Amino acid sequence: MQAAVKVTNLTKKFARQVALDGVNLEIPQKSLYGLLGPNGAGKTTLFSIAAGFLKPTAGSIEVLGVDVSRISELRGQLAMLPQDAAFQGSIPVIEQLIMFARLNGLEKYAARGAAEQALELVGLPEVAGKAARALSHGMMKRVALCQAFLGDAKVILLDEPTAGLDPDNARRIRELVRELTRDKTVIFSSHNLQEVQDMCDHVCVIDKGRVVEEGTMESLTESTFLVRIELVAALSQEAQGALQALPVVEGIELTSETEFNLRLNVSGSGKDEAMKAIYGTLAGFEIYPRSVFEGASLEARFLEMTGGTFDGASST
Amino acid sequence: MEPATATAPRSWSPQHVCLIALYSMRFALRSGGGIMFLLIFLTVGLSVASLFITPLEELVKIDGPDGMSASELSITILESDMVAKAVEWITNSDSVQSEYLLEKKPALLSAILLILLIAVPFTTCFGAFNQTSGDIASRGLRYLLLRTERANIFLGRFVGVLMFTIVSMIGTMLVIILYVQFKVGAYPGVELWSWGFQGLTAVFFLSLPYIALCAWISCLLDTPFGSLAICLLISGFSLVILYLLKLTLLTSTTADPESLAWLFKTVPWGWKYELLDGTPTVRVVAILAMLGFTAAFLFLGLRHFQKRDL
Repeated sequence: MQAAVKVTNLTKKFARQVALDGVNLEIPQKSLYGLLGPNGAGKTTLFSIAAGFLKPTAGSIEVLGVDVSRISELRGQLAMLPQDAAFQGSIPVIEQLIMFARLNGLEKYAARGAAEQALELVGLPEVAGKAARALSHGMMKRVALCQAFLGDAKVILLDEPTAGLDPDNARRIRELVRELTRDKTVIFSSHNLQEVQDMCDHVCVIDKGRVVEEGTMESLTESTFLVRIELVAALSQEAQGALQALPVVEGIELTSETEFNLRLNVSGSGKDEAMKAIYGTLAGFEIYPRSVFEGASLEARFLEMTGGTFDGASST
Repeated sequence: MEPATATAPRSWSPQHVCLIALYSMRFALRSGGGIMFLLIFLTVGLSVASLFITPLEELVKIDGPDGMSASELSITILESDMVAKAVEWITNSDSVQSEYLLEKKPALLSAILLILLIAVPFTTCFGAFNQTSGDIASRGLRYLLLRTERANIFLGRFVGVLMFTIVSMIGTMLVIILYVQFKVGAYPGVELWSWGFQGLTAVFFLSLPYIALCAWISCLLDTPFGSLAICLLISGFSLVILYLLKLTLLTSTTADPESLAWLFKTVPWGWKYELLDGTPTVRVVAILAMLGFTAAFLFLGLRHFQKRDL
């Protein structure tokens, strides 16, 4: 199957600063693809080149087989939520959405209908006649999101859609993205690693303009082979020995007094069987886990890969 | 959600240019910037008109010498040798041209147009400086870039400003003509309106290259204020440089002022009075020059806009 987005040797320099350095990526169709990286890693630059806002210094990006230098050939097929683009402050939101819909190829009345429908989808039909500057940050983010869902784009780029939002608004945006992007390719950047782990099936970690790691979420977090178990009290030596003796357990790593990782061997039995054996063993010692996670924490993997700290501020 | 129905264009699309122009004009009318420009244009136009009309209004109140009516007196003054000489000096032309402007055409409107044309480039800059710079700074253009070619955005904004400028010019000219007609009443209506229309055409063609110049400067800079400052500076400073160059050539060579008249033809401003010339071929050449300047500025602007990061 042809990749939805193919990035080939992409390099972008701003004066002497290298924002992207020979990036190669193939983003599969209909995937929810997470783009992660610390500040200044080059995520927004990558998005901006994919959308035709910035010109690459070298290399290319193809979206659905079309080089983005011919961006108008992708009209209606590529949509984006830019991180920091502003609407016209004094103009009613609906008029701006109608203009976007008309540029997407809709006739006047169909464009109005599509704009109204898009505002309803994001739960903001009441702001149609309001000037953009009268809206709160959360509302503006949802309006910006709704412009990305005008038309029927096959590839949608969402550059930090939940950045700067309160938890409730962030949750609403996540729900909208899940609901509206079925059967579409969505590339999603976020500083919320848990959000990316929960939502995305593929992930790419960029650091200092280079791809550090790329693959399915499963392979990155080793979710098939690793479980994290959190307990109420410390794990006893006996219980640890019993777990270690299980044929499905390859190793135990204590990460804190009440938390440990189990590396599984699921080649003989399935993962469900392995988990059954683990729960059974723990129950034998009257140990009932507080929580069980499949795979390593994405945050831990992220920090391991980038070798830095994660501060959750805006990106470049 | 309804899917997009039209097929994707391969290059620039007149339909998109019109759409962007239309919305840009509507947005300008509803935003502070557009209203400010309209007010500036009206203020400049009416100030120039009142410069001539106020003294004549005073004349209308008194009886003229030798039993002349006030209207006849105003015409006599404007058609006098002194005014004719002043017009020849201002327009750098001969007596044929001054006779055309002062005797064959309504002299009062000619005088207003001569002064108005001097101000047009500077006034135009106030309406045209922010074609793209503000939206480049706020990254608002990014919503359009996903949906259309850069050329359509650049040309659409240019056409939008042009349309808004035309509306402002028509409004200003209408007020001036009505003012002259009803306050002074010295000229037949048809003559006044037809000369007013020709004057409007001259103002329009002179403003064209300056709107295009602003389009170019506006896409070079990310700050609207910087764009306005540079547009005004280029429009005004180029004239100062040309005057200094002319003075230097006059003092250092044997050239006479007449032979150096071409110097000012290197900028659009230097062609302004040819746009009001009595000889149709001179007018056509001036219009072609304006279109040439416009095309050159648009070409430079478009070339930069298509390459730059937005």
